[in-house]
Amino acid sequence: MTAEPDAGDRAPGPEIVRGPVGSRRPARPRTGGIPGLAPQDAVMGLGLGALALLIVLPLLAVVAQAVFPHIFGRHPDLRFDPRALTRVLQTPFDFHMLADSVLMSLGAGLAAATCGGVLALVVGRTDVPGRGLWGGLVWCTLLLPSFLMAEGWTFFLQPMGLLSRAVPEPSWLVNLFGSPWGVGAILALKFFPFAFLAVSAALPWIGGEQEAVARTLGASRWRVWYRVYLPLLLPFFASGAAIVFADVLSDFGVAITVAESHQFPLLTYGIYSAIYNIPTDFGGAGALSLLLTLAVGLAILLQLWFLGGRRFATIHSGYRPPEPVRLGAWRWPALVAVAGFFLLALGIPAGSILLESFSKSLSFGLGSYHLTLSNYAALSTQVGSRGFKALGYSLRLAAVTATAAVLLGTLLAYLGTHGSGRLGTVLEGVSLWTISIPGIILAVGYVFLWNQPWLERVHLNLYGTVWALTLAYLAGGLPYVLRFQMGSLTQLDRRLVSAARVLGAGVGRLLARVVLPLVADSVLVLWLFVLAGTTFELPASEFLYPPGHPTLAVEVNHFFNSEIYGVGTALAVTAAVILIVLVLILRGVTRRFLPAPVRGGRGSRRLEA
Amino acid sequence: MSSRRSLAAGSLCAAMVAVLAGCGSTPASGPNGHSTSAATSGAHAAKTAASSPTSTPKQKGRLVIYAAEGYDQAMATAFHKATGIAVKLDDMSTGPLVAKIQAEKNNPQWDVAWFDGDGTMETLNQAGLLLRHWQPANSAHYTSLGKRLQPSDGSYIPTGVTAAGAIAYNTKLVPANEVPKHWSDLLKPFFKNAVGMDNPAISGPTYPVVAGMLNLRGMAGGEKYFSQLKANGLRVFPTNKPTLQALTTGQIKVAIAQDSAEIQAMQQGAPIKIVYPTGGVTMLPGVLGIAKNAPDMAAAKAFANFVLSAQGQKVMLAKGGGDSNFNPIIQGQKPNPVRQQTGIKWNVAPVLWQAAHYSKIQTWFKDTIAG
Repeated sequence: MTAEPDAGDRAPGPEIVRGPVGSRRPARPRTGGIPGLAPQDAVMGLGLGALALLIVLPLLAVVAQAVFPHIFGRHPDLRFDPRALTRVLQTPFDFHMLADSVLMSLGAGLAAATCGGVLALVVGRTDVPGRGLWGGLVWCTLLLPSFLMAEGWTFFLQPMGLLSRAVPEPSWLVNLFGSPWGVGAILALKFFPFAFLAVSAALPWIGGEQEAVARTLGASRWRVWYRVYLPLLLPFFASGAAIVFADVLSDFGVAITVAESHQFPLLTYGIYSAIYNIPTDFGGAGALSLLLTLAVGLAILLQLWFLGGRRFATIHSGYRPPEPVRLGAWRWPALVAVAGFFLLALGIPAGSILLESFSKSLSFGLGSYHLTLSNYAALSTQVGSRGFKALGYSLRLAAVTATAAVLLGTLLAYLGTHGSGRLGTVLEGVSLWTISIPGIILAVGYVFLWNQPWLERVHLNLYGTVWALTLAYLAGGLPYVLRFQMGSLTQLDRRLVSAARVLGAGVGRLLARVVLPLVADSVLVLWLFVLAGTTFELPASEFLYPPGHPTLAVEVNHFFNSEIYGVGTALAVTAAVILIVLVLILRGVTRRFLPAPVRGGRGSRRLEA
Repeated sequence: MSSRRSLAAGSLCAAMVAVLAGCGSTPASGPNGHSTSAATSGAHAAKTAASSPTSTPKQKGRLVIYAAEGYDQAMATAFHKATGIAVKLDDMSTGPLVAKIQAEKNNPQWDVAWFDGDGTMETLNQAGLLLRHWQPANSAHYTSLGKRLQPSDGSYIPTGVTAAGAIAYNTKLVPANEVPKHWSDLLKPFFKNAVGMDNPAISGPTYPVVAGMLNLRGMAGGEKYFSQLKANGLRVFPTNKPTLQALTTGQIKVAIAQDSAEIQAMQQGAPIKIVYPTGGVTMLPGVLGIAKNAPDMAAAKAFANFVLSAQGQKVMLAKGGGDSNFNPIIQGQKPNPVRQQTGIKWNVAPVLWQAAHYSKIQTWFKDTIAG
């Protein structure tokens, strides 16, 4: 591509209209078609429509039943009957659940943001040894599903569990394990990678030029960090905390496994039991979901107000790679702290699960303890081979979902950050809000939405086919892509974009030659993340998998329910190992071939444009 | 030019997605040779649909089973081998299974539902979801117990029996003289903080345990019993796994759980033994129901008949893991020898009573005992 403006080629391209000098909005082409409607608005409209279809409609399908209980009945009608809603509103227990869930999630979010953010700073900006390893371990924590982590913690901390074999277990620890503090801590340790990734994605782009200026003006190292870097990083800490908050709120893998007692029931558990109780209470589940989504919506509005929609564009032409902080004498204590943290967050649960996969079911406890390979051997038998079949199926579906989510999400995120005004804020808020919707609600909503008789007449009855499941997976993965890409694309200075547009680049070329190279790393990261999350996904899979084609989590669950827990754990471990190896290979390969984002420390000043 | 490029990129992606998705779903042929892969099932269903789409069932060319039994996959395979009819199985635990059936209410996609718990099946019947007044030919071979379990409106088919709640005790922690013989033994100080059971809200087979006790001793008497248990430190776990694990690791001394699961734990080497208390144990039949307007009615009926046949019973008794430890109700079939047969008092909690009191009992349990 040449850098010359397409002077003599006006006919096919749109006419470029420059915005007023110094305006924040990029130059927008005016089409010859619908006056006032730019192509990106149409795409944006389609994108929001897709979000509505994928997420909002299924949620509505469940929530509506709180006041219209017969809307999806055998003989559908719109009789207004708010008893389910009033029952929930009049039960103080439900508000306790809501309050407990929100408070615990807030706590977990703040804890995770602190741990993850500080860890990101230590790994990304200091010279602590083993940085590559720590980054990899963050990945492992991110990829392992929360129900597996909960399983590992249970195995470790339960009375007569792993810990008690080594040291006499203090009872306060066991009590802590089942308390809100314990559950919150476990969830924070599981979800801290979000905060880590949010902050460390921002770090390379916060260049050294501001620090250089500040140091020239006489500021000490600490002052630079406190007055320059921290304010720049605060939105990313907050963003990480917000995602963890939403994830903890919607998680019930841990809630069901660990919080066996009901001293502090969680809202997700309430929704879960409303749906799985007999008789099935979709109205009650809908009412609880309404409470949940209203509370989260409120929290998000608060967050947006607090941050004031501030955006800090830090990628610009004056960029200078930052220098790593030399820790000196603090190097080894820092190493010990980081290693200790990972031992706690990953080593204990993952190690326990590993040990459990090598032990015979129910043999652990009193008496001698034997390691055995029988669970893995069982996987290769006829009974166990269905597990591998499910794993292959899940990986294929996950690859498709990840590709679609990343492409659609990046496109929408780009339009959100570089399009007109408030839309980006709306998109960010909506994507966070959808993360907080428990997967089981969406799954049930999909059944209602896609199992309509009239859809069969127009050949659109997706329920029971792989399409409904893929759409549900997409609904699960898309909000994360949106969130993260909006975060990284925000840092792209509009002037870079304007420059490219003025030089004649259309949206496609802009995306391909300017935006994509700068976010290529995050595209791959997000692809792998959605891949892993989709492979282990349970609630939507359980409701929507095409009969005869179970997914991985469904099979693991099947083994758990058939009392052959050992085989189930072995299957889950195998899947996790395969995913981790895949991540390592793909990351290693693409580091060589994809255009790398500017990395500090080597003095490279390339900026592809 | 840029829009053309994005269009090309978009269609390439869409094509990629379609190809990968097509690879993901393996097509299966039904008896009429129709491929039922994802892309074509809609079209085929529409073509083979009768003129009035709402009332006449659409032949899909395959049998769809929603089941929560350990032997369901083996049975599906055996049925397919015997008849050539394609079978699609959704295997999951009772809770999600029933939720799925209820969610599909206005457009059922299933032909056969099979799980433990006649009370649960009765709630589906009362929602009008089951085929009534039909029993398979092989039901002529029921034992007297089997005949007793048949519902009066012929809405479901009993397939076998287990005990909803028998007492399993840890042999290393409970000496011979403390082995509980009566339900009231669990209230003794020896069992303080040492009794565990599943949560009926999560574990399907546990509701009949609670309902059965309340039916046996009356509502007031039964509630009093559970309250006393709770006062003695009853621990409620979500499902069988944590309950039995707690028993094996010695966190609790006794557990109340479905006897087939307890037997399986024993077979896996857990140091436990089973007691059927003198007050009796609640009978828990495995039941099979056919959807009212099943898309493949003939295949569904054939399946139900197959289950009750000698071949089907053999599959159930051999290929179900823990679930194979049941008492057959077909004449001439012998249960797994590890099952105790003598000295068991069987209580039957009436199905209609169970169904009528579902939400009341579940709510009471959640508020008073589990909470």
